[in-house]
Amino acid sequence: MILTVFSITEIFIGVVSMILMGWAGVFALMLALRWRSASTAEQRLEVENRSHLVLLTAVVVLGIRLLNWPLFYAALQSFVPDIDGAMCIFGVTQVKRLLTGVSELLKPISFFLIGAWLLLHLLDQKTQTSPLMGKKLLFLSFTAAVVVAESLLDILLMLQIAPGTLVSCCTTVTDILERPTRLFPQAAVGPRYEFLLGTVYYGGNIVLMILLVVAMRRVKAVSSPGGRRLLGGALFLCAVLNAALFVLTQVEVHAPRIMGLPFHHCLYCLWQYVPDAILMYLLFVLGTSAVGWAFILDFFARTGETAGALSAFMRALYGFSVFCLAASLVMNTVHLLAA
Amino acid sequence: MVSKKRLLLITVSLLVLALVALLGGIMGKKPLKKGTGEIEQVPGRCAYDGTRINPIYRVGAYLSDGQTLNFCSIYCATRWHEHNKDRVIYFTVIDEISGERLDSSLAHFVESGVVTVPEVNNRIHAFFVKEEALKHARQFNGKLIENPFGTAFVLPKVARFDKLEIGAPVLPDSIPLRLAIFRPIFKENRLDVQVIPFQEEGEGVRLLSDRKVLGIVCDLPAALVLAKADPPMRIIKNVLRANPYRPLFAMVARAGLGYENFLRMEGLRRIAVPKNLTFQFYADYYIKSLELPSDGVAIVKVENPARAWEMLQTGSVDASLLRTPYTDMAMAKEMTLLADDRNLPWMSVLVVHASLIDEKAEVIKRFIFSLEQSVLALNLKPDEFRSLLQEQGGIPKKAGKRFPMPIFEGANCPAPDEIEPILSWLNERGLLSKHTPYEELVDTRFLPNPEDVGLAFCCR
Repeated sequence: MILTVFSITEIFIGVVSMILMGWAGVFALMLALRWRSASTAEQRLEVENRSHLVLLTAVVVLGIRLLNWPLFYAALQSFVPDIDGAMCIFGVTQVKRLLTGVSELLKPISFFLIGAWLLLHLLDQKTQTSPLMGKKLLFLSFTAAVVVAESLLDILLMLQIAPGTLVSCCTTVTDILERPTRLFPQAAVGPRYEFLLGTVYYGGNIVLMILLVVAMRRVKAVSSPGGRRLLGGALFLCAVLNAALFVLTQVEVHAPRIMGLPFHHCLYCLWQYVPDAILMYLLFVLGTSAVGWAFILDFFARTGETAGALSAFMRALYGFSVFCLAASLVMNTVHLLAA
Repeated sequence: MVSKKRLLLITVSLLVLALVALLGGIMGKKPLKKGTGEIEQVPGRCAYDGTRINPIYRVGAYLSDGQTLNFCSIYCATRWHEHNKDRVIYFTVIDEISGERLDSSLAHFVESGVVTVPEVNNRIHAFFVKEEALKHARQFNGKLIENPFGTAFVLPKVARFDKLEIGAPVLPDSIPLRLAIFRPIFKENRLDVQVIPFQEEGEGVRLLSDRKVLGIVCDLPAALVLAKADPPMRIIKNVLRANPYRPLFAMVARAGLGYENFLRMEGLRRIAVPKNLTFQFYADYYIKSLELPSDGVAIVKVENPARAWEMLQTGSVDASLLRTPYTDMAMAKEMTLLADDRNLPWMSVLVVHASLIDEKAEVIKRFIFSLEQSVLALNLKPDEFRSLLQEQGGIPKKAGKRFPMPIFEGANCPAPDEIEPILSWLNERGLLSKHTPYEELVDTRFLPNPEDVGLAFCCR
């Protein structure tokens, strides 16, 4: 184990959230089942009363877990000097490749679920009769399971990364000519793929933002649920595709230019050489997630009582998404111009 | 509709984020930064991937536009070279044994099980001496490989090299030439110079007369004779001159024989003098300056200074006329210098074919400029190049590894009053008229302004 402020914090948060979310998840599942079987208002009130502590715990722990994603990478970055051959986070990820890989995959899923649950909870709080209580508790139990798994992986990873491990770093993987991020686009569009990727990146983002603005204006309480879900789903799909395009463009075209290393394609190196790129990425993640959160809310939270608040929430989420994507785009453009 | 206040807030936020990005782009820890037009590399970071550079594995690239880039390993440099085939004039690598930087085309490469830069898993090692490369290969399960930068190095069109062949004696005088190849200063000045070594002055003169070389490094008396020979030559630069602390030529008494005792010796004083014009000149000059009677001296002609030194050591002669490095060895042994040139103005010089001077004026100018850069590097960092002196400066093994680097002469040519005594001596011998015009012997127009000469990139 490598002792740094970040690794200790990571382990502490991991242990606390594993225990609390383990308990909260099981308890939420029990309450969700009770809520389903409750037929009278008294029974529902009893479930509601018993859920206060679980929900409060969940809000606090999940709120902290939202910050855990950047903290996780901060911890990995703090290990770089202690791993022989590591020049960036990529080198650290090579120490426990499988464990880190699973953990890195779980992080965005966990982040997305936590955000969605917190919004669902917030929306439910705005109602008089908590019509989303059952779904909220069920969603919480599922989210808690993911968070427990993520916390466990964090702890294991922090404990297992040994100082002095010899690894090779990103150059031997991200910069080879046979890298998939180069081969696929080149095979698809030919040798001018870099120019096309850059163009499609801007086109994709701008189109998505226009669609979101249009959707923002169309979301009304009276619009048909089927059509709105279809629209939300399509937007979410567009956002996911846009995210894939974003990653591909960053790896192949923009990150090397922003770093000033035209042949180096490592995003972890970008974060350490140009730290404000983290903010740019965070904005993009938030912008993309917000579209998904709007879709999830519309999917789970549509009731008669929430209809008005839901529309306002969705409009706010779409607006937030447009802002985040625009901000990310502006930052990226400024970086490219300054490069 | 978005309210004006909110729109203002959004605009301000976006502007703030743009400013953050701008500051981040300017102040970020990028390994390569764009300055005023030129790309500036952050010291200690690889130009390919930003890895911290370990000086012993550093690879340097000199580009056709005059820029230099440094890489953490041969791996990174070769990867970068794949994308920039037409930009590189030369690569330098570090010899893993001596830690000295050398032209990659002179190095021997080994791929072995030993990782030099773990970040990039580099297993290619560079050595200057082939035996060391083979030893490493044997020890670490490796094999000799071709130059990873390519055996047929393709130069950019703008950087075609002019070829020159120069003869140089196996003496410390040749070190500026050797360094300019080793580092490679000549390549930086678009020159492909080949040094043809020779042991004896006569051998060098033959090379020059047969036009096998453009010029040679030799001592001033021989150079003056060459200047009026057929074909004629010109002295274009001084190379190595004696200084108040280190003589170039000295008459040394055998061990145990002091200055006074040598002068008061009865009978013949046997003096070993190597067989060539320059040694004859110095022998005559020193015998005259010591005011030795002509019937009190017996000159023993020997093949070379090494033989003269050997005879001195064995006591076969009473004195020997020596040249550096033997003069330095004699001084180190605290032997008596009967006469030496520490206060005399003579030196070794570079002499070239007069007919080629006009033909290749621009090339010769660059050649002299490169030599000046080499001299500057040698005089500024003598210890850094001591192993080069040991290996290629004709230093006998007995002289030890701490043989000091000579101080080489900067942009200069022999002055008229400096050559006058030699001309008189040559005149007496009927070899050259003492009225020969200075311009027919020395050509000073290729000497650069010393203030314009800076260290070559590869020596910084």
